[in-house]
Amino acid sequence: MRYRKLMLTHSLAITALVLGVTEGADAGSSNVEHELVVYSLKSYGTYGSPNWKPTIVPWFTNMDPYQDFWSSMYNCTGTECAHSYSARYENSAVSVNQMATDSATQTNRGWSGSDFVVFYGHNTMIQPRWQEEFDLWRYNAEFYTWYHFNVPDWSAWGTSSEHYTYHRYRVYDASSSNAYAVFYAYNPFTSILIGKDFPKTGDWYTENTWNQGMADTRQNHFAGELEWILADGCNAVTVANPAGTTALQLGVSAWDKSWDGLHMVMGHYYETDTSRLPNLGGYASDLKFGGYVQPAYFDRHSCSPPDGKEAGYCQPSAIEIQPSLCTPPLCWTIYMNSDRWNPNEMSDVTGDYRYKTKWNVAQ
Amino acid sequence: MECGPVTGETKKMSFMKNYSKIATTLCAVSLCSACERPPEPTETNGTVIGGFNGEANPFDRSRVPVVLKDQSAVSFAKGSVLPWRSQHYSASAVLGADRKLPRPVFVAYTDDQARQRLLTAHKALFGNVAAGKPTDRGEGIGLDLAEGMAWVAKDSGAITLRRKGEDGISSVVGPEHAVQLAAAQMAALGLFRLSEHESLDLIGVNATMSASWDPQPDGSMAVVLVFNSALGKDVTEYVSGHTVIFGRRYRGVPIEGGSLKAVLDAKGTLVGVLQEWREISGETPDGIAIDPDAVVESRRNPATANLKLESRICGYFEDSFVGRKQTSPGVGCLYRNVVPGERGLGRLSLDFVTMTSDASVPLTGTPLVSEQQ
Repeated sequence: MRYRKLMLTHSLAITALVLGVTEGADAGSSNVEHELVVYSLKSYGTYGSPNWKPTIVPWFTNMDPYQDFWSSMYNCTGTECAHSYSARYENSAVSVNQMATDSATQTNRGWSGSDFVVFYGHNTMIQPRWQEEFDLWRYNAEFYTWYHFNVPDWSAWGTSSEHYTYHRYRVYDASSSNAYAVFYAYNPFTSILIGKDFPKTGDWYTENTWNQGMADTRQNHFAGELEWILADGCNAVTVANPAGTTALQLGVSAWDKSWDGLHMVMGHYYETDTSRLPNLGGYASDLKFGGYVQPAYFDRHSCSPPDGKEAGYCQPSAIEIQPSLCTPPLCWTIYMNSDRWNPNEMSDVTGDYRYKTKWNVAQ
Repeated sequence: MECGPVTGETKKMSFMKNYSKIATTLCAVSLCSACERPPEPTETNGTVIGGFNGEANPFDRSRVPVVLKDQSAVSFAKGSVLPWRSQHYSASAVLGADRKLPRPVFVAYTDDQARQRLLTAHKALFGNVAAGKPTDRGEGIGLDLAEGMAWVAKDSGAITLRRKGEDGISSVVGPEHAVQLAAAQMAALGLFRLSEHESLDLIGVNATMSASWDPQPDGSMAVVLVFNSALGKDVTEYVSGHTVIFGRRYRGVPIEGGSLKAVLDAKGTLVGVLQEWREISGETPDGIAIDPDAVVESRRNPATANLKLESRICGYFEDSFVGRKQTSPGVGCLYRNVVPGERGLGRLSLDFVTMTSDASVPLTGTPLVSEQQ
């Protein structure tokens, strides 16, 4: 937590009201440690056939965090509630530019200026672990072509033999010690790439559409403001093998390159599906009543993998940072057992650090 | 399967009778030729429908059930045997000639009752730790606790309790041990009573694993070894806790969506309780009329017609978010259809349809209008 945030001015507040961007009578609190942004992608942009990414159909509508989770967090005014300038974005509004902006207003809110980022959509990680055929859109000099069952080895993705092209610059150096967490955006062939975007220092470049022809220069980083990222899709937090039996460095390798001021990232380490994701409405209530951010997320999962699927199917995972001198059993966890949304008062880890990972596995 | 006595009007419902007809019934409801959908699995991976040891219970998974040892746990579960729930079944298999399922009625708590329940629940898990004054926060009433969380949902009265526990390497040995510990400690809380026709089953047991990594100068990560005294050696990952997910059945039919979770810390101590179901007070005399299978099938999305079915669950459903209001469970079918060539969130296309034309039993809840508002 940065000890002071940029206070929003009266003029911004008045502008927001004039534009009518507040949602309902009970629309958020004045608690500046509770700036929330929710991105929800059910449908993705089209380019040809099939769609750039498959449509996501929640089990039922309110399970989408754009619904119950948001309502619980935002449609109230107490200090436990999300700040009034929190924001939610859906489908075509979930672009690379929207997520990467350093703006922190309700009408234009990105990751870096928020306390809590919740993403509901397609995630993955390169270098992936699966050695099997897969489908992808491949860029061939001028345009993208869909390769159906023609790409022999998923584990080669992001390497010199199968570049990752859904980004401003091709990625060909991925490995287990140089991984990237992927957040697919609405516009075809675009993504936020943790480990590439939001580096700890320096500039980087993003591309909002695949044929933009011009990159946007970014300088905002995670430092300070942002505490928690929830990637509520598939394996953006890959801390174990699909069976859940063996710890993998993949997740910490990816997130370490961007980690600066974060407390925890949460998500899944393998596949999941919408019928096995929890309704985060209960999670929102937990957060407001002082629940711990990570255990509450794990606890709300009721996941039991279907027969034939690995024991890590639909199971949650998390990474936290802790001082490197904090050695078990003197100090097993820092944030995972203590960090709360309400009140949000834990300071950031500085100096030498290590990562702690947790994941659930079906028995 | 534990079945209560059939009384009053429910005598008309013969839905639970004659399990010997199950295989025939399931064959009849598949309707493969009628809708030109691919054949259904019998159970995933070709497991024969029916329970363990050949017992013909369509709702049991083919996994050895847990036999409870603690007598209070047996009382809590209303039986000594906890079956594991199947992920592919249909309540059509147990419908009688009248094609009705009983209609359970959920308990509705006033805010004052929810507040009292909160204080009782707090004392059960936190003991003599001061509770403070309950706070109303829209969909629930909770306590501001220094070392944990306690809140009760309005209307449903569902309890959520969580406190800090012991970290480190778990002393719990496997899923059955976790179930035994969880059931005994949940019983000791005294917070949950099953109604006359309810019984418990097991949805799953999850272990929480842990590991640590140190960044290296070259950008790689080195795993941190931890000494496991039980194994007498260093390990890179270890189990640090468990979550036991109990389900329930009403007159033998599972209620999907709802669950009761027990979270155990590394020492096997109960540190979390999540009631994600609504208590049942009784049932209406007339039950729920189930539409013909062909009608239910016709409600599916035509776009899924050519997809392979991974699983189908047809039975009771309640909204897992207890902050939403629901007066009775709905009856429906959740079809998980596999999309070829896709993984992850695009792998399945879902059909979630009602099994009844009775609009008074929706499959999901509605937003709560609190007394405060």
